[in-house]
Amino acid sequence: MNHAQATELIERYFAGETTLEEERSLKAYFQSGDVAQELQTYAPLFAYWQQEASLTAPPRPVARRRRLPRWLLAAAAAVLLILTLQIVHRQQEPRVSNFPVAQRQPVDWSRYEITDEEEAMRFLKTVLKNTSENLTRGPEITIRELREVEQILD
Amino acid sequence: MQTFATLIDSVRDRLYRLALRMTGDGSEAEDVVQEVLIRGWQRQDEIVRLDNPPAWLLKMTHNRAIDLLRSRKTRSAYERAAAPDDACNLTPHRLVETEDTLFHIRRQMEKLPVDQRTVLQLREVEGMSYREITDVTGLKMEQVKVYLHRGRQRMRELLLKERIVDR
Repeated sequence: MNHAQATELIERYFAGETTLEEERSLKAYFQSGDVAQELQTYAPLFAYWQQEASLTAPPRPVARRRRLPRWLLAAAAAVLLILTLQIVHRQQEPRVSNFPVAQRQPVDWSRYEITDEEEAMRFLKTVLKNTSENLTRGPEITIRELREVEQILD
Repeated sequence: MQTFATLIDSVRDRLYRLALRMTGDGSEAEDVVQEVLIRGWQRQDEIVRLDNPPAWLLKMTHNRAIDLLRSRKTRSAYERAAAPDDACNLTPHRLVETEDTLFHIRRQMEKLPVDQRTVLQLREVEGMSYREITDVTGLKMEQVKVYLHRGRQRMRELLLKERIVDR
């Protein structure tokens, strides 16, 4: 398109009489950079249309797959393995209810009763001797500690 | 017949641009597109059989954005009272810079009535025919032509008035 054609077309453009094809030609003319001096006034308008047509929508947010850290995956795998092994092990063990249940039997104390007189005397002497030793140990401890207190006070 | 996923990939940017320029807010535009895509997904079997599935999705986007603007109306009345529109403080010198020039054009576009702005967006940016624009916006053919003509004239007046390039 030469300058004369562009000058004629621009008048029809502002009058709203151009076709889409003619408007495309006019836009191409202004984009070429070789614009007649008397048409330079309108160059910004066509630059504006071009700029508007190049506007794009902001990119859509992409839903990224979140990956767990390797160490966490390894720990989870280990826990899962242990749980599985425990379950398998429990299944292999005999069930508790299969064991024979122990039953309480009353104790027959008569079997341990002393019937011999000499044996009874020996048993009695031993008990009394042990009791006497435990009773005398208390005063001995008291006397020893009193002596220690006296030494500290001196 | 294309799949719904392919359709979305091909049309998502267009839906976003329309919602953005209608609402003037990036996060609200994203919400609008998200809602449209969810509704579309629920009716995907029906949509992919349409003659022009992108036009249907653009229409849904347009309608949802209009709903949003209506619900915002009451709120913005309070907001305007509390914080008036910030004045454009670009100096003539700064207007020479391209970025500022484009920014200035965008500000003027934002001041256009929503129907006019939408028609300009669909024609100039998306390259849609008058018929497609009527399908999306629900406007009559004559209305579309009038809005397009007025919108272009408004932009022309701005450029001539500011004499952006001559400065």
